Amino acid sequence: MRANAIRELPGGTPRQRRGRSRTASGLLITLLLVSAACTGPARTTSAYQSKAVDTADEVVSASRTVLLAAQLGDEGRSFAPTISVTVADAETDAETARDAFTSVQPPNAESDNLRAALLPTVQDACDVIGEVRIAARRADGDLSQVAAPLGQLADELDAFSTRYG
Amino acid sequence: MRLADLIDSRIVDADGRDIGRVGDVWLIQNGPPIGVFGAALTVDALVIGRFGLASRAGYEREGVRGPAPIAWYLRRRTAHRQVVRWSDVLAIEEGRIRLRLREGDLGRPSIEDVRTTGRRVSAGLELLDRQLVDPDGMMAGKVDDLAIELKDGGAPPVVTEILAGPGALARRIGGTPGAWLASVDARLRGGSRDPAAISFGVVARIDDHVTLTVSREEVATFGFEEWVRDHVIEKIPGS
Amino acid sequence: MFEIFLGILTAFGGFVDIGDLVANSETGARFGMRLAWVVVVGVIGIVIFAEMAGRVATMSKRPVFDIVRERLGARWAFVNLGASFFINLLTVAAEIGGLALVIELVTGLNYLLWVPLLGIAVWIVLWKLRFSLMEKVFGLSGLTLIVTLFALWRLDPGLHRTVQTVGFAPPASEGWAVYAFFAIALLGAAMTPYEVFFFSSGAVEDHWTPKDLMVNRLNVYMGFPLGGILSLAIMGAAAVVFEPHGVSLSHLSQVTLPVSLAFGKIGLVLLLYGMFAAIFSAALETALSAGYTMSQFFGWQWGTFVKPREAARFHLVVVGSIVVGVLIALTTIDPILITEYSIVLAAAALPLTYLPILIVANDPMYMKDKVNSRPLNAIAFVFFVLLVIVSVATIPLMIITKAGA
Repeated sequence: MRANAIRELPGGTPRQRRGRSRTASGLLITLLLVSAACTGPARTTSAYQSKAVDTADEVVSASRTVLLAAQLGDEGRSFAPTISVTVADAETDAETARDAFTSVQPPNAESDNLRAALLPTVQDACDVIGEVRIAARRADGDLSQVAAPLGQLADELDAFSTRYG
Repeated sequence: MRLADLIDSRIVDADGRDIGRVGDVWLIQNGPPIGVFGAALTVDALVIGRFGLASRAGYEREGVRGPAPIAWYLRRRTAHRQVVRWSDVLAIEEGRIRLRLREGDLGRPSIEDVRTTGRRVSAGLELLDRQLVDPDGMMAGKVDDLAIELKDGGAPPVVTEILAGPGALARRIGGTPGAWLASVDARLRGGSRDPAAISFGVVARIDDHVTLTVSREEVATFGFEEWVRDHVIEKIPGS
Repeated sequence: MFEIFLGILTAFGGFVDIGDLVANSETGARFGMRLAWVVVVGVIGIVIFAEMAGRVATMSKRPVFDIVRERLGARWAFVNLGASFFINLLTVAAEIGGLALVIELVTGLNYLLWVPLLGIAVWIVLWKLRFSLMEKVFGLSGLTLIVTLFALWRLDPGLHRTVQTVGFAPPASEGWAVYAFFAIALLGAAMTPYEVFFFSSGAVEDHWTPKDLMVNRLNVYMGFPLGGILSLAIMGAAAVVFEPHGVSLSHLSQVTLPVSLAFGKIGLVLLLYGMFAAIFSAALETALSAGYTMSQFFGWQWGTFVKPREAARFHLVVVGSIVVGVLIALTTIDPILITEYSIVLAAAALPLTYLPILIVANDPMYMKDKVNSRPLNAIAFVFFVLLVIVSVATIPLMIITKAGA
């Protein structure tokens, strides 16, 4: 039975609420994304110090990951591509931390000293990790040998972190 | 007129005082015959109060205990709602309903108290947002709104059609999300801004869903489904 | 009997997804087992929520979002749909990203290459395979993740070191805000909303009757807690291997290290296979869940129990969600970061879906004689309060802790 079941009805306009809720949520989302992403400038010694400590922690984490990965690679406990990706990921972490730190302006002379104490170790660690990455991609045997300096470097960074953290 | 026009309208009593909003509309099946459904539903009363979670939770009904704290809180919110019979309505204006009575003269019957021959339906609780199902058991949309025809001479308004589809829904959602939904729907249906209507005559039954007597393919809301089926899904092997 | 056993194992293997892998390992590395209690709470929560949703769907033949619209009304249900759908899309992106990361670990080739291929693979499986078969194949394959439990035992026989770090407060080096934030992430990873949408729609798809209620309660009461134990094993392995050395977890590659350490290549194969299967099953569920929620809100025909051409819009939304998920993953935003956001936002959105189900589960008009018991109501209400507190606290904590940095 195809009754006159279908016909169009004149429509009305939806009640307008103030568009405030829309703008508010837009702002909130922007705020969220921004706050989750950036490193702001450091204006005091203690702010700079905490950034330095965070950097040290990041690089310690990356270094020890690489040490473990190298060990597993040499012992044949993992696959070459897996080790390769693990080291590459750690390298990205270390380099991102280093770059974020070097881009921050030290606010005073004391911070300059802090920078001078930290940066060379961080840079060394990044370099070694890079070498491990190259060796891993080549599946070049003795990764632990290449990664060995990281043990010492990680301990130094750990000490730095404990001292200033 | 649409049900969405009634619900949430402000109510003004004989003294001009604002006494609340329409929270729900009670219907009675005692109107002129309309197709397979039998006697049409007519508007019997308006319930004053917000139609929020409190009313929809169903705690006024017996036997719904719910988690005790929630039940207690929501029951309190619906306990003292007043009811306006349609015969007490003087006029319907833009967004406002004017009454003949004063606030003090209003009663508080529950829907079970209303003496009537013919079935009672609470539009907000039992009809709106219900699933439409066709005779084959296929889903055909939801009751997004109702079309109500006003009668002259004090006769109660008759519910003539079910309005379905995003065009109708947009009005009930309201505000910016509603406007956005309406424009998306209009674009998908080629510029028409009128919602799809289903005559109440093809309604077979109302229980926990609304059963129709026509196949869903004959309902206006099928247009979009048909388009997607023909232009997207059919093109993929194995459909 | 066999069916019951199979059901439990499927629930067990299908419990873990990329969110659980990321949340539990990150937490283990950072906090040891000091947040293990949250996993227990989360498992209890999902058991309660899923059982209620399944029972409501069985007795009333109505799946979750249908109930949500009926109870919350058009406006609030629409807002709920918007939020749930958005989070659902993020989760699809996270799962597909996670799959791509697993393939990267096996092949060494950049994960972005795999994202589109995996999107297509997910969709083909959805299109071709029957619902119950999909569930079983991927759910059971996910069981190989059990290697993590054995790895933990191997690394820490008797679990002495693991148990030592159990606690209810952050360590000296961390603050309460970060602790709370990770707690929320763990809760969101355990109590994923898509799981409930999927489970309840599945109840309608499979035409459950009251006779099936007991079987499905068993699946939920036994399968999910076993999945929780697996989550704790992942947390424990990270705690034992990483926490003492100050290693924080930010890549899926690191998650493989404990198992490699314990069992070498064989363990790693089992782990990667299990990860792939579990995440794949989650990707299938989340894509379907996107279709379910939208269709059930608007009243469209939905389901895999009818031919695709009879549920055209439903399938369009499912495909669309996979496409959007792939696009989000292709923006090169770290899949781990997408995962973190998806689980935290999922935790925040839980009350909106939980409350309507809790209310309807008490309504004899829908449930006949299978309404909630008083003790269940008591626990369920406590959870509701907890979820509201979590919901309110999420955004401020996200801002304060810079999303857990």
